[in-house]
Parts: sequence; C-alpha cells; structure tokens
Amino acid sequence: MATYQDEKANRRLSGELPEVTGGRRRSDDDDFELIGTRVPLIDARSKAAGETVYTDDIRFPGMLVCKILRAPWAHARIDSIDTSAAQALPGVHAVMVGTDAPIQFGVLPISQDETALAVDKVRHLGEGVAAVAAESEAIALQALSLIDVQVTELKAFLKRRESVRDLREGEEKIHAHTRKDNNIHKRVKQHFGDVPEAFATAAHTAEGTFTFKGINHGFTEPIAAIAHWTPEQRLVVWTSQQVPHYTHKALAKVMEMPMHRIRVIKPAVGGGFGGKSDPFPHEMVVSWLARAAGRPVKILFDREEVFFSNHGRHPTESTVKLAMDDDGMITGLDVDALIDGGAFGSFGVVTSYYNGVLCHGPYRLPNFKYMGTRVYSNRPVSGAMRGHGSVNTRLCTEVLLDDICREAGWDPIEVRLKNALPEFTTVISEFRITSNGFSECLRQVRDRSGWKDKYGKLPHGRGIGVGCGFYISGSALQIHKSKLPHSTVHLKIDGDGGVTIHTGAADIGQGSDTMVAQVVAEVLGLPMSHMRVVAVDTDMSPVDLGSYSSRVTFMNGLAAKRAAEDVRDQLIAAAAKISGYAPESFELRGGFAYNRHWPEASVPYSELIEEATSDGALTAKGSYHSPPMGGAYKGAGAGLSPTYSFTAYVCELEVDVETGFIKPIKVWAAHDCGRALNPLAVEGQIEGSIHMGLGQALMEEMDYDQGALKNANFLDYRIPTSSQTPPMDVVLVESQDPEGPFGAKECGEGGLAPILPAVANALADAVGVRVNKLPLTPDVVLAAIERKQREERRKKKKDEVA
Amino acid sequence: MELPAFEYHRPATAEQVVELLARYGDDADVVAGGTDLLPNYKNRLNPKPHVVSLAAVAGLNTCSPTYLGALARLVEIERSPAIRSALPVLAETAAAISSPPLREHGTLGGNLMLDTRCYYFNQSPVWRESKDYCLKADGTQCLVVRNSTGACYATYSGELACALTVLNAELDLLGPDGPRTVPIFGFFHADGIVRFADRKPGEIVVGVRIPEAAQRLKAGYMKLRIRDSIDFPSLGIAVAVQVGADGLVRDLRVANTAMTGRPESFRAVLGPFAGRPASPDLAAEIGTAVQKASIGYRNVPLDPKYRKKMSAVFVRRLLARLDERFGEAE
Repeated sequence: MATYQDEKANRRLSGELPEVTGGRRRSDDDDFELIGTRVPLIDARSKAAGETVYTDDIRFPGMLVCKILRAPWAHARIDSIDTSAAQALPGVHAVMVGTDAPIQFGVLPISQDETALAVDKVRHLGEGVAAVAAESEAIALQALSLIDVQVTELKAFLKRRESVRDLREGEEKIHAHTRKDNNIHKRVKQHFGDVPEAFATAAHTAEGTFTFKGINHGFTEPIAAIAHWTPEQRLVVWTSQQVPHYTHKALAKVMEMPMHRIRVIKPAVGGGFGGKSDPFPHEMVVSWLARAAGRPVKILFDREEVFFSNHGRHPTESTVKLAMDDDGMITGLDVDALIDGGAFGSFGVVTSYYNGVLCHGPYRLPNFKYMGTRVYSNRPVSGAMRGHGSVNTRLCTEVLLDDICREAGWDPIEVRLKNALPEFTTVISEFRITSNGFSECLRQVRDRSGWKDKYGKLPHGRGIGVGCGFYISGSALQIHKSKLPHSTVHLKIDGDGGVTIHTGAADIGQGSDTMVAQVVAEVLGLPMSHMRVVAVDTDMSPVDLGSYSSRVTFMNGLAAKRAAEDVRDQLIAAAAKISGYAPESFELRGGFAYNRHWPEASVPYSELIEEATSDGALTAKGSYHSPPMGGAYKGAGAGLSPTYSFTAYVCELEVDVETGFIKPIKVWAAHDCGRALNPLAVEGQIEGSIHMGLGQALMEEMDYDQGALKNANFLDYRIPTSSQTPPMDVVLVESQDPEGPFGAKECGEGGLAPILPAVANALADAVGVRVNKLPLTPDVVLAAIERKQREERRKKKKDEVA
Repeated sequence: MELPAFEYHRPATAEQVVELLARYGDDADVVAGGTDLLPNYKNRLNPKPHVVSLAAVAGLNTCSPTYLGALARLVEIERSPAIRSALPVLAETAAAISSPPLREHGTLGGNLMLDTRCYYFNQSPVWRESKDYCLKADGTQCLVVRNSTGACYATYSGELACALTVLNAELDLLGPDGPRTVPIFGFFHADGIVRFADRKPGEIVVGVRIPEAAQRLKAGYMKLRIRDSIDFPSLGIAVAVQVGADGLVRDLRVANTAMTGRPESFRAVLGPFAGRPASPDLAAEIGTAVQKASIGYRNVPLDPKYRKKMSAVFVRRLLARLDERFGEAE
C-alpha cells in the first residue's frame, strides 16, 4: 500500500528530480587568511585566568538571594499555601507563590504548559511551590522552612507504560489539556513508501526493543539568573541561557510587559548542551520577586536543582525493525518510540518527530514507518540535549544493521558505503541533501583504524565497531512563525578602527563569538585583535533565535558574513574614492585595501576608515533566512535543515569477560562539517561529543526511586573523567557546503550519536553479545556474557545428547 | 549551598580536642580534611552545633610503614617511598581513594572514621522529606531493609581500614580516660548508625600501629567502581598472604569494604585454607568462600549480587598477582 509520496520520493532517490536549490560551490574563495586556521577561542585567556564573568559572578548593591521551596511530592493537588510566617521574618523582602504569576509559558507555542511556580498542582518532585527573596541565603532558607503547604497527594505516573493507558478510577491526568483520557502528550505517525511490503519481500530482517535511561547534560556552570527592576520601571535579567530571545518573549508574556520594557543579557555561559535552551520558571520567579522587592534578586541553583530542572534526554523505549535485500541494500525501517517527557512539554513535540525523522539519513531509505509517542510523567521534564532526538534511535538502527551484516557475513562498513546517500539528492521525507562527505568519512575511519585487519579478527574480549549518523545544521523551521530572519548581525566601525560585532547568538562555551569574529575578520582582511563581539544584550543585539539545533555557525555565520561583505564594499568604495582606481581592482587583505593590479595604489586600513566614517560610524547589517524547502505533508518541517552534517566513527574496545567492564581503547572519528572554519574548535566539538556519548553509552543514567532521583549530584551521576576517555583520532571531512558560510556546516551535535552504536557494535564483536539497553554498566554486560555462556553450554549439551 | 551555622574550635593539642569533645559530647563533630563531613553538613545530615578541627593539632602527621598519624594525608601515604617499598598495599589503597584533589585534603583518620553511606541517607533535605526520612537522619524507618527493627544498613566505605585489617593493625585512641590501643579488627560495628564496637565516648583516633610482621606478607587491594577515579567503592577487597617455600599457604587474610556497615574480615572461612598448596584452583576456592560469606545491600552503586560475584574475582586476581603459585596455569 503505497502512500502518495512514494513514487516521487523513489524517483528523487534515484536522482531523477534535480530539486536541490543549493547549487554547487564556487571554487574561487579558497584563499583565506583566517578561515581554516587554528584560532584560539577569543575568551580562552579570560577563562584560563579565571576572569570570565558568569551570572553568579555579578553582584549589585542591595542584591537579594532567591531560594525556591521545592515539592517533596511527585504528583499532588495544592490545597493551601500559608506564607505569612515567612513574610514576617526580618530580612525577607518578598515571597511568591504560583498564583502570583500563573500565566503559562514554554519554548514551543504548542506546549505552553509551565508556570513560574506550581499553581494548583505539583507535577514532579522538586517543582517549585513558593519562593522568597531575602537578604542572605540563611534567611531565605529559614523563610522557606516557615512556609506551610498543604496538599492532597495524587497517584503519580512514574512508568512510561502507565502514562499510555487510560486513567483508572480515582486517578487524575497530569495535565488537563491532553486530548484523551490518558497522559499521552504527543503522537506522531509517518509512513513513506510501503513498509509492510518491504518486510514481506525482505531477504534479511532484524528487530529489537531497546531501552534508554534518561540522561542529563551535566554542564559545568549551574543554572543562575539575576533580575533587576530598575527605577525606570524596566526589567533587566541576566541569565545563563542558550535562547535569550525565547526567554525575552516568555518574560513579556508572564510578566505582562511589552518586550521593549524588558532587557535580557546573557553573561558568559559555562555549558548548555540543550539544558539551558528553554525559558525557565526561575527566570520568571526572580523577575517577579525583583519587581515585588524593588531590589536586584539573584538565584543560583545547586546541582540537585539543576537535575530538577533537567530538560535532558528522554528516557526511551524503542522497537525498531530493519529490512534489507539480498544485495545488502536497506529496504525498510519501522520505528516505534515511546519517550518519557516528564512533567512538561518543553521541546517534546520536536523530540517526538526527531526520534523518527532523523533516521532518514545517512542511508538510502525507500520505505519508512514511524510511530512516536511522548508521554507526560511525574518526573523532571525531558527536553533537548545534544543530538536532540537522533541519538537513541540511531543506536537501534546502527545496531540492527550490524546484526544483519553479521548474520549475512557482510562487512558492516562496506554495506554502509553501499547504502550511503549521495550528495545533492533528496530523501524520502523530502529533506534536501546538498553537500555530503559521508562516504569519505566511512573510508577515512575504515582505513585509519585498520578495520579490515581487525573486524571479526581480534581475540575474544577485544572488539571493533562502527557507528554513523547525520544531523541537521540548523532547523529551517522557526519555532515562532514570523518574518524575522533566523539570525542577524550588526557591524559598526568607528574612528578607532575596531570592528564591533553585535550578535544575538549565544556563545555557551562552544565558541560562537570566536566564529563570528573570525568570519568578519576574514572578510575585512583584518587580524582577530580588531574584533570585539558584543553578544546577547537585547537592548543592543539583533535577534538570533538561539543556540539550539546546531544552527549558529551556519545561520549566524552567514549573517555575519553578509554584514561584513556590506562593510567590505563600503571600505572598497572608500579606497576607490581615495585612489581613483576602480573598486573592482581592490580586495581587503592584510590591513589594506589591496590593489591587485597596481599594488602601489593600495590604501591602508586607517585611511579607509577615515574616509568611510566621514559622515559617522560605518554600519551594516546582515541576516539569514532559510530558503523555501521541504514537503507539504503534516510535520514536513520537522528535521528540515538547509544542510546536514555526516559522521562515521569506529571504536575499538576491550571487555573484561569476568567483570563486564568495557574499556574503550581508541576512537577514530570522521565528521563532515562542510568546511572547518576553525579546526581547533571543530576538533574540540567532536572530542567533546565522543566523550559525552561515551557517558551515555557506558555509565550515565538518571536513576530513580519512584519519583525521587537517587543520583542528583556529580558523585553519583557518573560522567566519565579524563581517565576513562580514550585517545581519539579526529578527521575533518570538508565537503564544502554550497550555502554555508565559506562552506561550513554544523559540528556541535552530529558527532555525538555515532559513538553509542560504535561501542555497542564493538561489544558485539568483542564478546558476541548484544545488550539492548543503556548504559552498558559492568553488571549489565556481565549478565549478558553469562547468559550467552549458559546458552552455549545448553546448546552443547543438546548437541551431545543428539 | 551554605553550610549550617556551627561553632568552630581549633585546638592545638590532641588533649584539648578530647577536652572539647568531653565538654560538648554528642553536640560536637571532629573535622580534619573535611572531604566527608562538609558535604554531609551541606545536606543537613546530622549537623552538630560544634565542630572541632584537627587542623592546628601538631604531632599527628607521622607517615611510616610502622606508624601512621591520624593526620597523615592520603597523598602522603600514596607517595611515601618508605611505605611504597615496605607496605605497597597501603600506598595502593590510598591511591585508589577518591580523586587527586581530595586526596590532598583527606587524611588517614578521616578515611578510617568515614561516616557510613546510603542512597537513602546521602541526599538533600527535600529528597529525604519525600521519603519521610530514614533512621540515620531525622527518621524512624530504614528505607533499604524494610521492617529492619531498628538496624541501620548504611555502608562503610573507608578503604584504608580494609587494608589495615589484613595487616592486623592497631589503633591508638585518646579519650577522657587517657590513651589506649585496640586492634582494628573488632573496632567497627556493622550497624550504620552505631558504627563503632570498641570506641568509648569522646575517644579519637590519633594513629595506627602496623606490626613489622606485616611487611613479610604479600598484600594488595582492589576496588570496584564504575569510574576509575572519584567514585566511592562499591566493593573493596584487601588480601594478605604468605606462602612458604614448600608452596603451602602459611598465612591468609582477606577483608572487604563497602558491603556492610564495617570492613568485614573473613577469618572464620579462611581457616581451612592454611596449610594447603597454593594453586589457581585454590585461589578460586578461596574466592568462592569469600563470595559465599559476603553480604551486601542495595544502597550503593551496583547490585549486591554482582558485588559479591566480584569479591570472588578480586580475591582470585589478587592472589594470582601477589604470588605466582596462585596464578593461572596457562
């Protein structure tokens, strides 16, 4: 039973429909001074010196400390809250409860289901029910202890399966707004091609049900925010954020103020990974308290509160089936994912799609069926985390692919090469693929790792495995539909010659400030020392939608490049005016408007500036809108991106067959980032992604006892240390994206997912066991090894009897 | 999060420490490196109004193969050339504790007197409130073993005590009635709240005596944990063994940690192995005996069954490492 897209998609796959609008890259812009060089991040020195100013480092006279009273119940109706004793405590300046700011907000317009504090019910252990602003932390804590909250406890939903079923007598839904009489938040169904037919005719099939624990980003800097209600009746908020623009919008909604009366400033951020990419309840709380108290109010979370805030990767249960033909070509994929969203919506609707649609590469896939179900539960909310939505399903598909290869006696890398999407094509869901270095990635890791001499040939206990992936380079669809560009950069050069770059892009440690500075410096032919980045102060910065979906280098980079090209043209016009030579003969390089034909007619930068600023500072803006693309079916925008990155990893590891411990020996990593604007930064992102993915693969898990997270600290939530991190051989494959800035595309997220299946596949190669759950802690691995030994003994016995 | 308020005392002698403890009784805690006490205080786990610091007490820093002062820092034990050559097991054990920065601060005394740990105890106030608190802090029930009738199953995680047990070390105590010396074996109590069987009120550990005879043993320590740094043990095993020139086991001692409320010694089950010829099979038999005699609870990382199983593997591997006659016959 073919769907209407079927025929069209298959024709595209075979390359008959040249619909890609990108066009091939011109090859005349390879002569760079800065692009492609290893540029240290511009804030590296200040970070190393301990001088970087994070939110908690900011202090104001009269600043109050905010503490939030957190619920010890997973699901409860609030009957009453008495704050009178807290209010009367000397040193307390304001006390807040949920009904003080009851307007709902959320990062997605379709999931406005969070409030500053619990309004009529508590939906997870740790949710805020009241807050105080006091002169010291000790007073604030004492005030919290004086608040009396009376509740009626409700049946808590703590298992995915329970949230799917219909309610029983006496139970209450977590959110009243869900459509049916259960706790399902979102259900997504897709069917491209004809999956039943693909399985009916397949030569090989594999299937498995995989379970994944929830994991947390583990960023270093805890969540923090400061709000100040100014004498001019404006609200100023400093906040550790990836999406200051969405916080700005949400604050306006909840505080019932126009956006122009609110100023959001993002200080230095010590890591985000998706855990700071929602507008947050505590931002509303400090804002309300600051207005009530008339004094600046600061909040700094402890690590447990960061875990309460969570927004980490969804706990997931996926049943996945893969079909292949005799030639080793993939013919069908069927994914059924059940994801636990926790108490609120967050990015969950997107996650529900991504668990399916981010399977549409990096292989040719003619038939695809998906059902994604996101449920609410009484746990801290799940949200976006590095590799958002792609990571767990990626493990399933890559592992099943290997299972079929093993059964059929095929080499997993050669089969992947055979199935690899070509460049400049479209996939079944009508994503357009432009630049694509995937096959090159595979060949690189195959050859560098010595794969052919190792796969299936290493001694028992030692194994090698491959894992691949692809990822969006910026979501083409805006979260809030508007005519705003995705990203804008303003440039200003005044008499001192320094270039001020105003960007709304949130540097969260990934280095986006360095990236824009590098792009502008390259275009203007100036050294990095001329660049000064003024980032994310909504009074000054143009809007950028935020640091999520791996969009910043591509979108903000293009905006910066376009703004710089405008300035370049103005400077060249000045050179023409000064020298009398035609503008076409000039280019900016090495601090000059260099005349290609008559070098002696070159004009130094200082003279250009004098001329170009003769009627005031030289200014320019550049912006990025994504081009029209994508299909017309429901949900066609999910996973749609102007371009995609591609990745292939090989991991070699050792398994201690008596203890179950896995020791990664080495990782070979190849990532197609289009062009590495700054190889130093790109390699850092790849290495960081591998490290983070190894955490999920081997040890990280949010471990609950009913509604209570048992390991909400960095002792018990075990992120690998440097001593568990293997040597990594990182290769950057540069496919030269036709649309990206200087050919660049993403490198921050796509590098995470492939390490998980690389480990799982290497484990299978090492000891012949397949473990369908993460993390692969030693007890779990040992149990699998012993199960296999028992099965082999039983089989041997049977054979002997026979 | 800030520490709760307490009065901080910084006496200059061990005698003054004892005096202060006698004065404040149960209202005082002792702190040295602070790496155990202060995180617990931040979580409001039985904080006391008085904290007596050993930081200014002189004379407790000895670090030799026969005597360790209570204030010997873990990093000193780890790096001492004399200990590394005469009693490498102590250096090995110290090096396995926590992480390098914490070993700079942590002391022998602190590691010996480490408070017991449990998933239901080492939690924040709101977390514990959600479970209506446990026996060990503010509550009336054990959350690990339901209906435990008053016993606490929190787990002892000190690692040097495990190694010192197989070396037959003795503890120098100082209390209101003066000094006394007691064997480390029998000093601890299995109950996670009681903690000590042989410590009188107000007594502090000032040092550890290690018999010179211990240097004739071959001894080693292995630690089970998911990460090879930072983590507390999910299991620690110390083995000391002496095999005669005739290949017969002369002396065999095994102790563990992180399974119950105290380091456990396996004297009772090891007796029958004396006099038997060392071999890989014997090593496996000893490991199995230790595994069978071990108990553990579901309140630290990794389940008890797995940890018991690892006891056998670790004992066998340690024996093989310490004396080649226990090694694999391959």
